[in-house]
Amino acid sequence: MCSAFSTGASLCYSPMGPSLASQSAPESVAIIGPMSLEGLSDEELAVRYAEAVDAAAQDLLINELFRRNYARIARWCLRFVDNREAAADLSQEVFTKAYQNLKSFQAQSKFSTWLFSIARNHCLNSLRSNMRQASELKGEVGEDFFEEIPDGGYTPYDEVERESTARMVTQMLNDTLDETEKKVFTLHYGEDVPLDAITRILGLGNQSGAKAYIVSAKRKLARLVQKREARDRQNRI
Amino acid sequence: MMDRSTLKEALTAKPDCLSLRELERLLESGAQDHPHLAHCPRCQAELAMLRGFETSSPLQDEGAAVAWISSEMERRLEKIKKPNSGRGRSVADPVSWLSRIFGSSSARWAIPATALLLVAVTTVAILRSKKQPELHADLGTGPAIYRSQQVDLVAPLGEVSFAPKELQWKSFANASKYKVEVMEVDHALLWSTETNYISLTIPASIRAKMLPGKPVLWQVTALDSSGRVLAVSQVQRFSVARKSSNPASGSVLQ
Repeated sequence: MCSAFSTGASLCYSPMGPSLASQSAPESVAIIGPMSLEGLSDEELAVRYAEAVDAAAQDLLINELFRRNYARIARWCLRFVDNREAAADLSQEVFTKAYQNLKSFQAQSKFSTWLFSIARNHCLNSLRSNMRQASELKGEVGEDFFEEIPDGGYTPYDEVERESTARMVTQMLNDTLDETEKKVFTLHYGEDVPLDAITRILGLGNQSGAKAYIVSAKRKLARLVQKREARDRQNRI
Repeated sequence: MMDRSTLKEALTAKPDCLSLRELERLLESGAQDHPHLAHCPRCQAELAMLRGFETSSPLQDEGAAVAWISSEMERRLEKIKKPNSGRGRSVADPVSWLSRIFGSSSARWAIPATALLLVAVTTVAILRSKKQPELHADLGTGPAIYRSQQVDLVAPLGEVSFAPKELQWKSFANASKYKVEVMEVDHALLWSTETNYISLTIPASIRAKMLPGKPVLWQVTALDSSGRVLAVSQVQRFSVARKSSNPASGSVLQ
């Protein structure tokens, strides 16, 4: 039994397992071999899935593609939740989204990068929609320090003001923080990722994980703000 | 002064930030000297996340969980492809189950025939039985047996050696999810969550509160798909055993 692809290739079922065959010479079907699916890259599997015109062929291709990525998605989701049951549900949702959008994959990037964009957005959105985690996030570190940071100017144009603020914040982070502190700070305050999840996402091996970096970043930024205020006072005098 | 939302906005993607494809290329080439990347904390964080996704190996004690989730995904593969059929651990679909039995040509006649035979045998047995029901002398005086509608908790119960990693209970008929509550001895809530399973991993932050000798209470409520309570377990208690002190040392300094 063979399943057809729109490109003319066929996926055949043989006692040895699924194999790819060419339709160009139907009288002598060239069976590539039972290991053909394993020989295909993720990108090839995804493209052939989009081209397949019958459900059986699609099933074989999608099953193989997803199986290759179970562990990757499981590890990623375990970074965001602290028990395997919740991570399994999160993984299922990521795969469901991938399944629903797979035909939009254009192979212009690696399949894993495409899958990352789905997993990243889904897990971050899931975190944000969880109000309990959001309230925990508020309690993780004191937030008074950024109230000390002055706004970026008094221009009446909001857009200009926002750009000015963004530039100032970026400048402050680059001038003050080390590479890991910048990443932790950005994920925590820019993406609302809880510190324990950041510890796992970035694979931080120190004892207190991301919390140590955020405390250190906060201290450095507070010192910088104090210096700037002192300098401004000096200038006024 | 800056509020949190302004800070958040300042840290989100800008029009000149790198796309995922550009980050992918940077990751593959190993180049770190891209002019934008060098000065953009947001793109640096994105690149770190992409690197983590691409190259991550299981963290300590994570391998078993990854294997379990992978096997769950294999089991849920059909659900992934038909997401409207439900979420989480599935209960066998009664329609497909019945159609499988009645759809089989060999079983199509066997099931009704067996049912007819059962009805006939039961009718004969009732008609032949003329004996009065027995009255037991101890009726009403023996220990009461309750056919209770309650969820049975399995573990942990009583004194345990270590802070348990998991709570387990028996499945309750028709329950589609369970509400689990972990409480202090005065019933102050420590943790509450819902699950589709009959076991639940306790987060490390909650386990950390299970100090030796401190009683912890827990209770499970079975809910149907609309969230209606089907049954509630008794409140069970467990505590982590205190480490025994060396009697020869005389006293234990805390």
